[in-house]
Amino acid sequence: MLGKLLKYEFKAQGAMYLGIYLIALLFSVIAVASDKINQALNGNPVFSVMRVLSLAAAVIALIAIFIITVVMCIIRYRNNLLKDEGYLMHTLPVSAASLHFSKLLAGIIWFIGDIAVLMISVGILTEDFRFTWIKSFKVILEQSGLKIDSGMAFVFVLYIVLSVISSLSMFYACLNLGSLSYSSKGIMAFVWYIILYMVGQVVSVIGLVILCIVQYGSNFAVLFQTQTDMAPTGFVMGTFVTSVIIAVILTAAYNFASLYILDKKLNLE
Amino acid sequence: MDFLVDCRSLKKSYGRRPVLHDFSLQLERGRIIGLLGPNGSGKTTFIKILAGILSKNSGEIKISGRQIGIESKKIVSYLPERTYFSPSMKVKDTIKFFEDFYKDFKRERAEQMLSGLDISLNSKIKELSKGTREKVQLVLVMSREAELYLLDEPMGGVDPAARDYILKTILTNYNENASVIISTHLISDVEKVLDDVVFIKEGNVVLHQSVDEIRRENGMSVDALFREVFAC
Repeated sequence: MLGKLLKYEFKAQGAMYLGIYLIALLFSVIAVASDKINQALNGNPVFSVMRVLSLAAAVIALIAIFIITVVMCIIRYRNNLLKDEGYLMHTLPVSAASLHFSKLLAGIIWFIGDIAVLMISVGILTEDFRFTWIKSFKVILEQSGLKIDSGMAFVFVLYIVLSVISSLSMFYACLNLGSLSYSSKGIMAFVWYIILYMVGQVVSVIGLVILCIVQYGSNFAVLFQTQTDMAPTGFVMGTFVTSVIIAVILTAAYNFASLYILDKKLNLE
Repeated sequence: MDFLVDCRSLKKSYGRRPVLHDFSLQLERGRIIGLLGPNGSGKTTFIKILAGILSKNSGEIKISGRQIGIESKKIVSYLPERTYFSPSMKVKDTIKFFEDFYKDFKRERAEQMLSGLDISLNSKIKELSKGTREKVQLVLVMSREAELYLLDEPMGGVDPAARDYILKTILTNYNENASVIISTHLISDVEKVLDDVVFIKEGNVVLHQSVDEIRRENGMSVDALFREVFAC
């Protein structure tokens, strides 16, 4: 049933995402084309302006894609599971977990799509599909004392992926917690967002403090030294690992809350 | 006795406002039951709990021996009092949706009824009038071979001619092993098709009797009895 639910997720939103992806890619192509024509014409004012405008539009579109994805994920979850459409979805012979995770999986897949479009757009704009700028970025980081190996790269990517999942899970948990209210569900969802955000920040700070104590004891001053025998690599790696662990714990808590409410406390008034 | 719906000591409140108090009701198979009561009496709340979209506070409720959940949803066909399809869907998409999720859905039956109502399969839900959207939903709900049909105000937004069509649809589509629960204020319209009535007042069942018994014992119609019981 999860597969069928996912099919309807993509059917409902696919055209919209395809549209915004094509717009973002089109602006990138126009920016590069304008630049090429401008160079060929030795500085044509029309194409020069067009290059700047299309480049700005491409950058705005790429940022907008991520904002739209977050907003659409929230709206889709609320409308499809907690508003009128929920009267149909919750009477389907499927589990609350399938309903919830179909939304979460769809959101993750749209974010992967966003990142793919971002990479393709950057590839078009830089005319470099081998992404050599990533290597340059690595060199800059290594000059600051960091040693970036495949382990750290893996943990970094894992952290990014988990951050997306954790954020979506938190938004969905807020909507579900807000739905328990009998009067102002929207306002209560926002209140729950503030509460969960603060709890997340406190847990992260506690996690990082524990990491500092474990790694450096009471000698925190070493963190602010750039050239030292205790290079920051270990600390950065430790930060990522700690952040991954915290993200896993928080994501599990958010999803547990959502599933409990959808399964045991559903309140479609 | 093996009841289709067996509900005992059900309690539900919205915050501090109690809606169902110690609500108990047993319903048999093969009956068309009118769930009648004034606004706020708890009719819709009871139907929503049966449909599985509202959680109870306490009590026991079973449909065909199954707890409310995936298994009960396989045999319950629910028509809420609001439009639940995405406005961007076409009528044919809604048919496909039901076909995908309900094994007991009969496509031919749905298409036949929609054709009888002159509703195009290519129409978008958002382009249909409120009454037509309600008809589409009723057609889909009644095109399932469910054991329990829950119809919450099925005639609320349609004209009198359409009401007759809806009643005809209900009568011709439910099978003898199934029961239909109809919650409505339009008692005189539905009275002719009802086998039993349940009067609900302030979250309690105050009467559960067959229509024939009501007429025989009270010498009045269900509509007249309702007006007497719930007189302001």
